[in-house]
Amino acid sequence: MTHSSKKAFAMKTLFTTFALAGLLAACGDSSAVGGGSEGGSPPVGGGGEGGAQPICTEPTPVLCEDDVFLAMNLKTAPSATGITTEADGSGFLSIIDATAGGAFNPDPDSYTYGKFTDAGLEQVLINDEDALASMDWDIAFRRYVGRINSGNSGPSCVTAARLPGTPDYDTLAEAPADLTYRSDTYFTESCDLIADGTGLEGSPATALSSYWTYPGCVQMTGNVYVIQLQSGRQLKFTVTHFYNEAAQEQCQTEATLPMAETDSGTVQVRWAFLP
Amino acid sequence: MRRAPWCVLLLLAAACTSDGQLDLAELPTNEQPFAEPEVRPDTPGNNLQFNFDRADLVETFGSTDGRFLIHFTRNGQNAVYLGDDDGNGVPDFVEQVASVYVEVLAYYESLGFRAPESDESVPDNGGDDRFDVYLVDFAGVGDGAFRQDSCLVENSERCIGFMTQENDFVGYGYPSTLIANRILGSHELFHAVQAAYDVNQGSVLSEGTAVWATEAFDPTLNDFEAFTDGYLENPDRPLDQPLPGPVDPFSYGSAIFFQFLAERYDPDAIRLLWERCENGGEGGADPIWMSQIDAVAAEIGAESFAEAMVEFATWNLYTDDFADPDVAYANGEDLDRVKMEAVQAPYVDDEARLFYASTSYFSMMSGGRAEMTAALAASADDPTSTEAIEILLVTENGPNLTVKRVADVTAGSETLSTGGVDHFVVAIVNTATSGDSKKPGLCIGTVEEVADCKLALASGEGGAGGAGGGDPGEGGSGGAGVGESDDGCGCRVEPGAPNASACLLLLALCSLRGRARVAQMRSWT
Repeated sequence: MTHSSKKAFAMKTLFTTFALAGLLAACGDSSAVGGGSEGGSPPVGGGGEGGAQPICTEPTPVLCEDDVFLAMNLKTAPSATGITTEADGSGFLSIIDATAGGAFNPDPDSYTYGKFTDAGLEQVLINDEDALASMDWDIAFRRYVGRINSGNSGPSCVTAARLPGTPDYDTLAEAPADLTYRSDTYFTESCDLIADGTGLEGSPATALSSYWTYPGCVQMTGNVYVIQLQSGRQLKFTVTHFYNEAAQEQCQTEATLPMAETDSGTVQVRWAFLP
Repeated sequence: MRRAPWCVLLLLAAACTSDGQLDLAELPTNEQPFAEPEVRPDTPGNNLQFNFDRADLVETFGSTDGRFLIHFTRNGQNAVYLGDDDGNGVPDFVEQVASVYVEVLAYYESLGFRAPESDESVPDNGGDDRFDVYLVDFAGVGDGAFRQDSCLVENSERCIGFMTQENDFVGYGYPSTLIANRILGSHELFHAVQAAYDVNQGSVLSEGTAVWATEAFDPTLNDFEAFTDGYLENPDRPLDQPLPGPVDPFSYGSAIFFQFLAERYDPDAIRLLWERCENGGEGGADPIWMSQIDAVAAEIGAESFAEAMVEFATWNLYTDDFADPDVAYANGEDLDRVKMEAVQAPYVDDEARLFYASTSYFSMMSGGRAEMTAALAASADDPTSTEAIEILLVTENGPNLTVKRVADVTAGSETLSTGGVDHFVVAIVNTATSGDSKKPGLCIGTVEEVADCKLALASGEGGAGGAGGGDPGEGGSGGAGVGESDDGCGCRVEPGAPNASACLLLLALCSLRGRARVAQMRSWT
């Protein structure tokens, strides 16, 4: 803990523009869920567990837990929003309502937590507090921040590796052998928040934080990740939307947002288990 | 920098372009100590965010006490109100600004505070050693700011500065320019006073005591009342820890703690605290305020911070419909209710996270129980987890409260009669001033229920040596329903509405809703 040190206060002065995060939605938001479903065949569940061995079986205490709780503004009431999943070829398209009470909200809802299963991304009804001690979830979103269950986010051993270059999500059939997986560590050993470099105040450098960039709106990078679950299973994963279809399209092409609904905080992801 | 509760709306408006996009350039930057060179808003070629235009003819007007120099212009976007009812050639608005600063400084000095440091040694000092106030257009992005332009050689955390202030308040919504000037002058000048002690104490002490100062200067101003929700909605947060992000109502809302110290114990409490924060003074070489609060509490007759914290938690019960000036805040009826977590009895939390210098409130129906109690159970991992923790048992019956402080927080034997009451409330107060959070087990119910709860917690901890093994029952598939936030104060935009303006509308509605969730930009000035 660094609460009583001037160092902590000095760190705070680095924060400038978390306002932007709120303004992302201040400039356009709603409760509606955006479209963009690609439809397709019924869910088939992917590669099955095969011979995967658990990466870990016991929880690992979250380091800097108090600092994580305070700096991430974690909450004790569970998110009231949900996750929907539908088939997407051999995988899934999941829509995570990460609106969390809206942008610019100093008292947001908890993250929306999910678990990757053969039936899709299933919501785990858990609050932020309990999530710090639970291995039952794999991934969580609140607004544009995505966390996986490891490191400073949780006690499990879910890790993620970004594929180099601009890989094609659809044709990726197996995880490359030379990937470097990282846990969700975004605090220093002295418990200072590591920023993600977007310039958005307080935005942490989570393992998935490169799924977006910020040229004036939350623009998708198209990065493709391989996520390795606690069970040892792997899946390919990419985030396609933070806004609805029209708003995301305009953000991608013009780095602006329309005056109409943007549905910011409605995160769409495509994913599929890998052999 | 001070931004009125409504001002964040204007900030948002300014930051959102007409196409609803965020314009980074329109967002204010933090104004950190030493962030700018020693320039003033009228220095040619300065890059200050709020400044005079090159074409402005800048005039000055000295205050009657000879201690302030007001810089203003009569033309362009920075022009002040030109009304001059007394016909002395000086705009009345400028004279009003000057007179407010004279009154404010005299008041602070009457409380024993230092005056702002003299800028006599600063090369660009506005012309002389008088404290400079520059009246320029803020365009809705705030309404004033104290800026530091250099610090003392002998103490780099005692700093010299000047004031930049809104030129006319057009579009700001203040009832009058006098009220605007009194709020702004008292708040920002107190930042200059703080800088005469120590500029590196963090936003809670800085903004919290500045809001307190305005309330002390003129209790009829509503700034304090408008900001206190920032604390009352987050009492379970450590007292010295701002909320993350720029929307930090907590720092401003913490004024309620400083008001409590002054009102309950001693009006000199805030001055004594600032004095102890000075480097090399009574507080030590480079003290931070939270490390000094215990000594100040003792000095003002509170015995200790721990005792003051328990009393503070108690006073915060007496707000809104439960206000009682004989027991707590004189203006408690103007303050909203402190946030309580609604739970059901019997209530069990195997690990209740309790941050230092915080209070967690739990409210429940008695469910027909004639008497109720609460107790903590130390965790197996941390036998000290109940240390420095205090429990208040509270019943609400109509507007009346009964409050009982538990002598032994682990006993679960002291009760309050809950027959026929509206609610039973338990306040858990962590009276420490630093350290990791405590996570004892918490049991609330009848004496028997609490005893059973304690046994269960003890047996659960004793079995595998853990704390329950990772919540095995918490998981499961969730529904797919998409819910709405409970209060809508998060700047959602209604379907079909132009998003930026609708967002502002919603925020405005939030600000009008009994001071619910005051959105306030955090700043270090």
